[in-house]
Amino acid sequence: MSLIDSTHTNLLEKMMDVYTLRNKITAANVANIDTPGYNKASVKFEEQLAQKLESGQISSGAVKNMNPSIEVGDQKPILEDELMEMADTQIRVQLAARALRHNFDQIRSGISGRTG
Amino acid sequence: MDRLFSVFQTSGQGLAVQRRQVQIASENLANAETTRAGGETYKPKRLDLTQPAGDNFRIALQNSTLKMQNSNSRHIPELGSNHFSPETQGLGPEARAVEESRYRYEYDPAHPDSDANGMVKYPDVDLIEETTRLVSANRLYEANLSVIEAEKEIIKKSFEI
Amino acid sequence: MAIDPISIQSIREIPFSEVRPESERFSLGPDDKSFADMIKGAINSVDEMQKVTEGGVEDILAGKAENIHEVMIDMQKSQLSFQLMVEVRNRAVETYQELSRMQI
Repeated sequence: MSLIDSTHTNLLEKMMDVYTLRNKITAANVANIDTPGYNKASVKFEEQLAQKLESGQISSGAVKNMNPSIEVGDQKPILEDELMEMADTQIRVQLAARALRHNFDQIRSGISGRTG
Repeated sequence: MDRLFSVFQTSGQGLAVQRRQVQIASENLANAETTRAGGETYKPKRLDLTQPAGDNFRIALQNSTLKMQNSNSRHIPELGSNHFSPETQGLGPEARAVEESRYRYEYDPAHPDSDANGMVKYPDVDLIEETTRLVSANRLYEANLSVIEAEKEIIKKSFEI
Repeated sequence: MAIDPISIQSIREIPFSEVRPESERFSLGPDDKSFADMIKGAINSVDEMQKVTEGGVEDILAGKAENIHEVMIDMQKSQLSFQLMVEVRNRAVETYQELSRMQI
């Protein structure tokens, strides 16, 4: 039912998926910094999302069909960049988790008729 | 290690590699002048690293994208099956210690291990290279630790949903 | 962000016709069967949601999955579906009682 399972929550869930993947790839980059032949990999998604948002409202279906992709560059990983990426991801995860909590709390208030 | 969340496996592999680098650098440094190790001159060691299997990246990508079908509460997948195949090998490198027959020679006829020409065979250990390796390995070890911390934090945040 | 904002409106104010599952059309009139069917439908979907959530947790515990955030989200949705079902049931019972009173 779209009240509990809205486009908004679908998007937040999708972002959590992206962040989880991104952290796995960051871990791989750090573990492989000195591995010969290993080039930095990164997870792409935000550009796709920004594009879709620009063209107007997005639907649940559109969200479900958007997927992250892994792009391998032509440079070795740089430690500082990976550490920054991790910090960035942590912050975004917090935001998504808070937003989801907020969303569910609000629906709960609506169902019970109570605001406390 | 197989039972751990894959991110911890990856970082665990990273930690193991750096720890071995430290071991190897220490051993090479300690034996820079060893002419007699089991009857032979010490052979410098190094760590050969190979990349994680390319397939594991694909599996990681797949795992992150497939489950959205479950979010419709009317769609029941078979209980316990969501086609997730954990990339249980982690995405870290594999390491193999390798001995190198690299030597350098010094003229020292007074040395007990000098040969007929008065030359002594020493392992070709570059002190600067090994020290650098030591320092770098320590730094990268710390880096892998902080990745583990970050992942823990991310998982903890999930519990606050 | 151009995404449907969550309506802050209390569920109680949403017309009953918009709240229950679309496959169960509820026709006005003291028709016990359609009330029961509707409630059954709501219970089934809550039950399904529950199973999905439990399955999700079990998969993680058994090492077959790692999607903790997804399971946490399912838990919330599952709890909300349940609460919603309870409220719907309460509304339905109240409505039925009112209608019964009217006939007398």
